[in-house]
Amino acid sequence: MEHARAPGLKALSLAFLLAFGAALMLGPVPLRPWALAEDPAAWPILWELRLPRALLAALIGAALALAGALLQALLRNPLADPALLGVSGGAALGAAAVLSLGAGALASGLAVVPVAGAAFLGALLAVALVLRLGQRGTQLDLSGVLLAGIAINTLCGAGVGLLMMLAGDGGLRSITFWLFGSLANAHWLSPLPLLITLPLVLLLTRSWGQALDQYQLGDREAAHHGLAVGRLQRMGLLVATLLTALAVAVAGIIGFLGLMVPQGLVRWFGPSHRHRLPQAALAGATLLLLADLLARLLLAPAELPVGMLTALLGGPFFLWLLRRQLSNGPEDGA
Amino acid sequence: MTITGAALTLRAVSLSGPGQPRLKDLSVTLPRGQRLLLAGPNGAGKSSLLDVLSGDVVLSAGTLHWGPGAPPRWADRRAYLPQRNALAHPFSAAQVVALAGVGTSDALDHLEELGIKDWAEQPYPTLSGGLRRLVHMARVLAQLDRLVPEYGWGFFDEPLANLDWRYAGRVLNALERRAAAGYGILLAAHELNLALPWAEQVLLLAGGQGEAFGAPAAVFTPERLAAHWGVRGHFEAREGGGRLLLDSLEP
Repeated sequence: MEHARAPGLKALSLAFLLAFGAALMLGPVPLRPWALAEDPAAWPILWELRLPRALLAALIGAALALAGALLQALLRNPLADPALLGVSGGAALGAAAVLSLGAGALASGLAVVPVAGAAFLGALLAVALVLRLGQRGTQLDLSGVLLAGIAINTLCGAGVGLLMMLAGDGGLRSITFWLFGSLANAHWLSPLPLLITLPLVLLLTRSWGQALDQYQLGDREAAHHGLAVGRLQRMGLLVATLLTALAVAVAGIIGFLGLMVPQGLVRWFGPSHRHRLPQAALAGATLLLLADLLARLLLAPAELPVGMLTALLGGPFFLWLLRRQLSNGPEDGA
Repeated sequence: MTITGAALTLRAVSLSGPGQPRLKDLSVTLPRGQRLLLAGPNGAGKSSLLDVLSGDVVLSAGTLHWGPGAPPRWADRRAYLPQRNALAHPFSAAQVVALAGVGTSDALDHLEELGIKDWAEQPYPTLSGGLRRLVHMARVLAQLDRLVPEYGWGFFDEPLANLDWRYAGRVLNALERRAAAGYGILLAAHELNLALPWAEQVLLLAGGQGEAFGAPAAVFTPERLAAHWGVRGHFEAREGGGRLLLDSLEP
């Protein structure tokens, strides 16, 4: 057990590389790696469309899954999801505000930047509010945080609904599209923020495994072992928020990935958090690459919003998980 | 040559609570290397005292003295088994013990010491209440064993509750070994007849105040049993310890 260093990281890396390759080669126009040199039309497709999109899918999948793994550990709740903290609600409200103003002019290209910026700001504001509301004295109350997150999400949802009613046809269309989450507008700028942030986060959290394990004992008993509980909570929530906000800002709301991936990893590799975060990053990247591939291929040449696809896969998974927990779990939860 | 570390001294320790104060003006010197029993009726302040000694709560008044050279970090001074455990994550029993910062083989040794090695691989949430408690006991003992005996203290809040006699005996033996090694050991328990043959000294709390500190025979007088437990009974000295005999539930 202990001598199996970094369990699964090799297999997950291999799966990731395969998925990345498939995302580059497959699509409405299939490319053949061995014929790239002779095919002049292949390079623009690869360079301008597939590569930035695959990079974005990998980074967003990794960011959301890592954030989900962190939140499930920090909230000590296997059903926690990045959306719970109010991140997605706040981001949606921010994006909807800009989209309803600018209407159809913001369809693509660099015009995405103000939408992403507003979404990012909205996400940070919402989380700041949730954490503030979920505070008891100087400490975070975890159930308070969860409840505040639900309330803030609902409020933001109402705000988005109002904006959709007030927006014109073009605005309505772009808000709806954004809410489903999509990687269709990927260009070379979109992966940049996560390309810089994600390696830093992996570096910062590389030795958090033992701490996250001890943290499961509860605030008090974890502190008895010398763990700086408050610091881990603050840093972890900050990291999870940042990753989610950056992902949501570029690609809209892609649900359930942050819930599904950590859950699957628990089933495969056991309950320990050692190596959980890099595992989650690799598995999340792989899964979103594959989901986006499906989204592009299923109705080609039209494409599905990838967020709809992850929700379609994630919804039943979530319910299965819930039933499993309800029928197997200890009754008193202690 | 044995090195004996300093005792743990409380001077006029008070802890306020909602309504009633939890601890009032408690002064006592707790020697290390002895089997110390913390006794008292429900609500006497036993858990509050252990919280104070473990650094979980801040004193309202008074001081704690750990002796010269005590490590600055609480985690290097004491291991603490609180009365309740919050863990729900599906670690195996051995993984829970390893949270003390020990390796797998060390964790298994601690499970074996308490006689529960057979459950090492079983998910913690599926264990019975008594076994879960024993797993935490093993974890806290593993933490205690990492401390220096000259400074280390172990505080145990009702580890005997819900245990059958065999496992209660295992726990008491494990604590006896630590005391013999020089660690400070303070055990809170309501199972007086299990704990009295084990105990060398008893600290009796009542109403948040120190009522008595001394040998079991001297502490458990018929008057105190009547005043604090509301029963008629007496201490019967025997070879290898003693026991309390309950004559009537009416004082």
